Amino acid sequence: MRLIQLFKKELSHEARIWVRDELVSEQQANTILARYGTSLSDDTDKNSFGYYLLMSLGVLFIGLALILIVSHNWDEIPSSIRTGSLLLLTLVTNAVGINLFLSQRTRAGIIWLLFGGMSYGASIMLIAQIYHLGEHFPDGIFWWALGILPLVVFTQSRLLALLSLGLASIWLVVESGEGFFPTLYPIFILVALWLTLFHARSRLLFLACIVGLLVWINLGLAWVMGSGYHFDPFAEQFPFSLGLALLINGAAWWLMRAEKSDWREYGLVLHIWLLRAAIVTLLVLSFEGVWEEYSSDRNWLSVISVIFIIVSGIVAFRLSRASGRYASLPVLMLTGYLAFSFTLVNSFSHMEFIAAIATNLMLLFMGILLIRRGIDQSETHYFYTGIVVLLLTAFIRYFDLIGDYIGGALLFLVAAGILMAAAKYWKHHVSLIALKQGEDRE
Amino acid sequence: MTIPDWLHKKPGKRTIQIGLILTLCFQMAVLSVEYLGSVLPIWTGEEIILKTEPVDPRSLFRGNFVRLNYEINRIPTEPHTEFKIASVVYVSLVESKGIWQFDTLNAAKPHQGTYIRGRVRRSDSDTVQVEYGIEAFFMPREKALKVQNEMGGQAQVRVFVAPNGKARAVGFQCLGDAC
Repeated sequence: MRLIQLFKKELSHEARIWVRDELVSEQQANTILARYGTSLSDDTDKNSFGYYLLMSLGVLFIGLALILIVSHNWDEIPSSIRTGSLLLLTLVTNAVGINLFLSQRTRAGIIWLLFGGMSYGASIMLIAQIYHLGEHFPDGIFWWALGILPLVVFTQSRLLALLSLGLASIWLVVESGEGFFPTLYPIFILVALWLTLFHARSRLLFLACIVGLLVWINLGLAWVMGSGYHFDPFAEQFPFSLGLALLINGAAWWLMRAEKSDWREYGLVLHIWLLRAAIVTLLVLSFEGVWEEYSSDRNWLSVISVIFIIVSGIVAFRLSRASGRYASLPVLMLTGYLAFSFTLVNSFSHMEFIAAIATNLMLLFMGILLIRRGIDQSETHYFYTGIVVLLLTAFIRYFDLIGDYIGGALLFLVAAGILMAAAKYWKHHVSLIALKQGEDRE
Repeated sequence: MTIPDWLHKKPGKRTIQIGLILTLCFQMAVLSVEYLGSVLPIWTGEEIILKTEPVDPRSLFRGNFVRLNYEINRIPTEPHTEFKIASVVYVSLVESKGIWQFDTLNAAKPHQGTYIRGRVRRSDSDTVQVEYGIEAFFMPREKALKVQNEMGGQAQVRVFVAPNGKARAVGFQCLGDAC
C-alpha cells in the first residue's frame, strides 16, 4: 500500500507516540515507517519549516511591494539614481545570499537569494520603465526567469525553482498571448524535473512540470499548424492531448514501480490526478452536444490523431502491464474507446449519438472497475471515486437525456444490467476464491 | 534502467561557489546590457520628431504608461508582399515641416539618410504593422491621462535614433502640462 505525503506525516506522528508509550522500540518504528518511505524524524523540523515558509512568503510580499513602488514612476528622482539603487540592491541581496549559502546557513541564504531574484526582476522592469522601452515586454520576464535558473541548479532549492518555473510559465502565457511561440520553455521544465527527480522532493513542482509540458506541446502543435508564423489551433489537438495523457499514465505506473520512494510517490500523485482528469473529461464527453461541437472531418490529421492514440495506448499498456490488471485494463479500455469514438465521429456523419453512448458505457465500466479496485486493494479512495462516478453519470443522464425518454430509460436499463452482471460476477469470483482457500487448507 | 551518475551527483562546494558568482555576474550583465541598450541611442543618436496618438493602458509589471500609436507603425506595402512576423525591417524617414515621416520600407539597412529599425508585428495584404520599441511611454497615471486628454490624436514625440537604427523615445513635444 502506498501512502500520500499527508498520511505519511500522520503515520510518523503516530509512530512517535507509540515509541513514547513504549509500544514499539525506536528501531521497530523506523523499520515500519521505512516501508512507506518515511522515518521518525520526518517532520520533527516542522517548526523551522513553518518559519522558513513564512519568511519566504514575507520575502515574496516585499518583492511585490518593490515592483509596485517601482511602478509608481518616481519622476522627481533622477533616472541614474533610480537605476543605480536597484542595481546596488540586486548586487547586495544576492551577494549576502551567496555568502550565507556558502557558509552553511542554507535556508537564510536561499531567502536572501529569493529577495535578490525579486530585486533583479524589479530592476529589469524599472530600466524598461525609465527608458520607455516598448520592446516586446515578455522578453523582460524571460530574462528574469533565466537569471534565476542557474541559482536552482547550484542551490537545489525548491523555492527558487518554483520562482523560476512560475516566471517561465507567466512568460509562456504572455509570449503566446502576444502571438509568439515560447520555444525555450522546456529548459525551465527540464531543470525543475531534474531537481524534483534527483535532488529535492516536491510534488507541486513535479505536477507543474507535467502540466507546463502539456501546455507547451499543445502550443507547439498549434504553432506548427500555423507554419511557424502564428498559432492555428485545430480540433485534432484534443485527441492528441488524450493520447499524451495515456502515455503519461503509463509513465505514472512505471514510476510507481521505481526503487526510489520519491518516484513512487510522484507516480501515485500523477496517476490520481490523471484519474480525476479522465473522469471529468469522460463526463464532459458524455454529452452528445460536445461531440457535435468537435468538428473534424476525415483528413490526414484525424487519421494521425487516432493512430497516435493507439500507439500511446500500446506504449502505456507496456509500461503499466507489470503493475497488474488495475493498471493495464483501464489503459486498454480507454484506448479502445477513444480510438473507436474518434474514428466514428471523424469518418461518418451523425455519429455523435453513438460516441456519447460509448462514453456513458465507458464511465460505467470505469466506476465498476474503481469500486472493485477499492475493495480488492483496500483503498477507500478508489472505492468512493467509483461510486461518485456512477452516481454522477446517473445524475447527469437523468437531467440530460440521450435520445427521448424511452432512449434515456433504455440506457438506464442497460446500465442496470451491466451493474447487476458485474455484481453477479463478483459474487461468483468471491465464492471461487473461498472454495480455493478451503481446498488449500484441506 | 541505469541512471547516469552526473544526474544524481551534487556539485562540489567550489563548483557551487563559482556557479553562484557567475550567476550574479550573469544577472548584472543582463541589467547592464538592458541599460546600455536603452541609453546608447540617446548618447549617440540623432533627434527626430514623430507624430503619434496616445492611449493609456497599465502594465502589470511596469506601471502606468501611455501607449503610442505612431503614423509609421502602419506602413503601406505593395499588394501581396509577404513579411515574416518578427523579421527586422528598416524604415527610411524624410523630414516635412519639422516632423519625420515614412519614406521607404527596406529589408536591409539603408546606406544613407535617417532610418529607424523595427520588427514586423503583423503583415496584411497591403499594409505591414511595424514596432520600433518606442511604443510605450511611462509616466504617473494622472500625467498619462492628462497627455491623453490634452493631446488627443495630435501628440508629437522626441525620439533619438542611433546610427544602427535603434530608437529611444525621450519625451513629448511641449503641449500643456504634459511635457
